[in-house]
Amino acid sequence: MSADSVTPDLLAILHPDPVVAEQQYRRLLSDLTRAMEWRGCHDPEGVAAEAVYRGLKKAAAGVDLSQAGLRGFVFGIAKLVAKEGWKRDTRAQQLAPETWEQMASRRRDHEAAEAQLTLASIQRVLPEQEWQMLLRYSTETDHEDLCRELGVEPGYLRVKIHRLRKQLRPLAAGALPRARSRATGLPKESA
Amino acid sequence: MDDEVVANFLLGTLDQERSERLFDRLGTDADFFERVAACEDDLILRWHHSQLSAAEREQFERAYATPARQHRIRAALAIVQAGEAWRSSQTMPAAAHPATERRIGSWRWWRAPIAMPRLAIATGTAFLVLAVAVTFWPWAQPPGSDTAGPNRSLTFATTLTAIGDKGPGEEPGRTRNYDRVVLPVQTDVVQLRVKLDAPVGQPLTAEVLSVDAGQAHSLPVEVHPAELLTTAVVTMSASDLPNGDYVLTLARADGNRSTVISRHAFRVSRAGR
Repeated sequence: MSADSVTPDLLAILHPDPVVAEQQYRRLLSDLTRAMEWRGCHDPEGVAAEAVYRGLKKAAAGVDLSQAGLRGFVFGIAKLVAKEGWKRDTRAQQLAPETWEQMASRRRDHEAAEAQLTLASIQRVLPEQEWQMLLRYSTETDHEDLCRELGVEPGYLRVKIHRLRKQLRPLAAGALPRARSRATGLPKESA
Repeated sequence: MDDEVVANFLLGTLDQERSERLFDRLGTDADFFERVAACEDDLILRWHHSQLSAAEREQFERAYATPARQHRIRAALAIVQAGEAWRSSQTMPAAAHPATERRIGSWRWWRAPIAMPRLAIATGTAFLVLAVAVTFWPWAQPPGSDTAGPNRSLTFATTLTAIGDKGPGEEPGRTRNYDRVVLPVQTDVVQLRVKLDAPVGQPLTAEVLSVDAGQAHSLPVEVHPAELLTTAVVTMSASDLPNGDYVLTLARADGNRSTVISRHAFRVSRAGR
């Protein structure tokens, strides 16, 4: 069975309510995918999906999770899965230097219309104070003034901004795992 | 673990032992995970603003050369571009700024012979407008308006109707659905209403679970009996409902246990401008 075979019974390991279980599954998958990116895994999405599936299967079989919890257990499995993956294909997909140059020029020559659309979307999703805070943080090179105005520490503001970005999932969340299809009524996250 | 260690981890330059310990902590400490993710957002911004040293930039461009991390950079830059578009719309040349021109010319205007009568007329008009506003403002507000004055809080009430196929007492085969709750920006208090088609009996309790954050609020429930349907009302602060997905669970206490009588999924967002 592959990672695509996460059944409702396995999801129930996360929470008895299938709606909550689906959301927690997606969050675990998303976090683990991002952690595998940080680890330098060449297929973070695939490794994360496989690790979560194996972890849920083992949890359903009654493995002891008291030490690390399910999340820690799955993260541990992901390390092993990543090693297996690396054995199969160790070629890394790297950007060539000229492509980095294109990325740099894209920073300078951004599409004005696209930026306006993104701005309008952000302003629709977030309250005014929050989107202004987010956009100021994103465009200012020194955040001391903003911290002083808000009366918060830089570390707190950084996490606050991160949480605002999470609310802009289609715009800001970056690489998200392919969502499993479940009749929960909650829309799938974009890949 | 300080920010420099986290940055080295993200850039792939941290030693193996500490990298493994940090990775393991990501799995057991969700708050720490969030902190590392926030550090990554900052790292991308610093790269974009050319604030990394030459060595750091080289390490960044090596570590972030994979398609998945490229996607994350593009998503981050989309917000930066939106911010720059917003700033461009806010900035006006100082010479063309109407307020600046008024300040420059105001001293000369004050010296003009006709200044005093103009000032008197302007002051009198302003006083008249203010008097009218103060006099009529309370009666200008229609009853039940959601406009909040300075000393009033804005309450937003909504009835949750979407129910799923897996909740207790539901018809089999019904597709699970969710309610969209769009809050006006100035909302202070949110009332979640649920119609119950059976007598309640014992007092009810409510739990509102944030699916995204994993936080749960336990709240009392007001029950308003009616001839056909009883309404359960859960009241909570709007600040406890940031945008995201939630599940409201209503339960009835049966001795030492509680019996869930209904669950409702809903998604909170704020009204656009």
